[in-house]
Amino acid sequence: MRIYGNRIVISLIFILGLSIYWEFYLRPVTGPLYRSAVEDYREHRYARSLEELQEADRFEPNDPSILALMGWDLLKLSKLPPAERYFRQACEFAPDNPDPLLGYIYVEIALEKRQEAERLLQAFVRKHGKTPDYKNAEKILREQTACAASDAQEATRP
Amino acid sequence: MAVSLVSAFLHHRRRPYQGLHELRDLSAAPPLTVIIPAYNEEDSILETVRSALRADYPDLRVLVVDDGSSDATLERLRNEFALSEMNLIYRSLLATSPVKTFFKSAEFTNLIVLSKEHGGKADALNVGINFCRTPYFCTLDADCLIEPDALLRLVKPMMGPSKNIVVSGGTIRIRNGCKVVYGRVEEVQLPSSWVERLQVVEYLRGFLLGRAGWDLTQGTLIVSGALAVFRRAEVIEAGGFSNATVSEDMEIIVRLRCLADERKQPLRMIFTMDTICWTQCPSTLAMLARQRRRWQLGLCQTLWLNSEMLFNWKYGVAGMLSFPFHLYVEALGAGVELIGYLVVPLAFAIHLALSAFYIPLVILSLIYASFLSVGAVLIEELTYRRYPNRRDLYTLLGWALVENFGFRQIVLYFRFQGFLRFLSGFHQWEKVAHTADSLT
Repeated sequence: MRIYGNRIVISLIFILGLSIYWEFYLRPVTGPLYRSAVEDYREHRYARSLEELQEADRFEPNDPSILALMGWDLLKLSKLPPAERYFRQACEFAPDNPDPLLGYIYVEIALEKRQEAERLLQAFVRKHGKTPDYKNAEKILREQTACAASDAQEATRP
Repeated sequence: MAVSLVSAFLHHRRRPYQGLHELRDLSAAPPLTVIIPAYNEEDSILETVRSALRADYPDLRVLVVDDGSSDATLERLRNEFALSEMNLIYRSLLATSPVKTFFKSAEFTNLIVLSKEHGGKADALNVGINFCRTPYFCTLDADCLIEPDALLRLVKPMMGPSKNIVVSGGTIRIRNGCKVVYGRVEEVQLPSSWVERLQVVEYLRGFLLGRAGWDLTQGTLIVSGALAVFRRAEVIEAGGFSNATVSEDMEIIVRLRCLADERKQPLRMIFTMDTICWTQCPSTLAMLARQRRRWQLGLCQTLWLNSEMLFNWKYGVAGMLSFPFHLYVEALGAGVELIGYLVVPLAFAIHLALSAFYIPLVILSLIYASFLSVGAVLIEELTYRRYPNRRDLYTLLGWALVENFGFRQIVLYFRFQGFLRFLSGFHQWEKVAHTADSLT
């Protein structure tokens, strides 16, 4: 039987074509939407990056890369509670990925949830070791803790 | 599953009003020939012929076509039914291998045995069609036993107001472990080995869920040739059974659908849930592998040969729904699922897959599959109750729960092998031998 014109062959080629189209043009993480959002983030256009990611999130609502980048955008825009939510979701979906975990730590520091930030830092060092990112986050947390202690001392001084 | 449940429920509700006795007593039933193709079936052929001869049907002929067996199939038939050679008229409407000898029974006047050169099951069936003189014929595998009213139940819908029913198929159940007395299943019991028990669950799911659902939507694409009644004229017009595939029963259904398109006349294939035929299933994994490879190979061959049906409006539900389902889910799905089992752990290993998604997804899909199997067992219990023993029912439910954790993957591997054989152009009928222990 000839292959050319066979409906089964045509349907399989069609499915293959659709898959390639999805993978390289539509799929948010590898597609143009996500790439553009990353570019905007690098250029400090956080609001625009966030808009693009929200569009991508409609296609793939459970992708940790999209969620994490949305978290970073929101953190930069100082919208801390939604940033915390996105980072938490991203960490649930990709517990081994250091990027959302780091973002989560920074959000907790910014929200002054120092105990939670400490716990996350310990989780980070257990999984990924003492990377420069870890050391930086730890330094910020220690500074904030010291500052808070100093403020408390100042407040109790008669 | 929902469609199948509706179908089972409707069928069960109509059951008491089928009027089988009227069909039998008023001799309204058309003459029918049961064609039994047999190739090296010395262990089971006698029970099968007895079962057909004992069927409750007013005008019944039984035709055994010995397909050049090299074992004692023919000798056993001759001895058991007092066969003697005769010269009978034979017209070759369909091309077949030559017929060597005709035998008639002195004991049973409606029994005829034909001996021919080996040409395969489809060829043997075509010889039977050439020889039979009745407007309807029933195919019956040589390792199957039919229930007494099975033929009446199969023919009844064909005699109804819908005149375009050309095929009527029944449910196949597993007889391994059952007590058989002179061609009849006297006591239904579960087989002893796990391979056979898991197949009982598989058959229940396949027939009570799958085929019942397709029947309700009129998308039937597979009617088991182990027990099915065909209208002879249409089968001859379609060219008879084909040796081009190793699943001649599915191939003829698809070709009849093409014939309906050529004629511009709808032809229906129906499935009767409560018509029971008891078959022997493979009792070892090696034999199961042969059977499943052959089924998969036959499925792929049939779909490939009739690819013009795919997404073709002319064929209705069969073309738009049933054919794509059998292609993407049944034929290609085996490869996709098996590759999934291999790729997902690999993706974990190289940190590509997200455990938060994949592990629950795999577990959920397996639980869902178990849910279907348990559902099939429950439908059986709520409707036909062929397994009266409570212990058997609980055992079946237990096997239905675990079937998808191991056995499914083994069968999947066999099916994938069948798919690879199709790609390699393999074309050979792998015979499933039954051990003597499975014949009780």
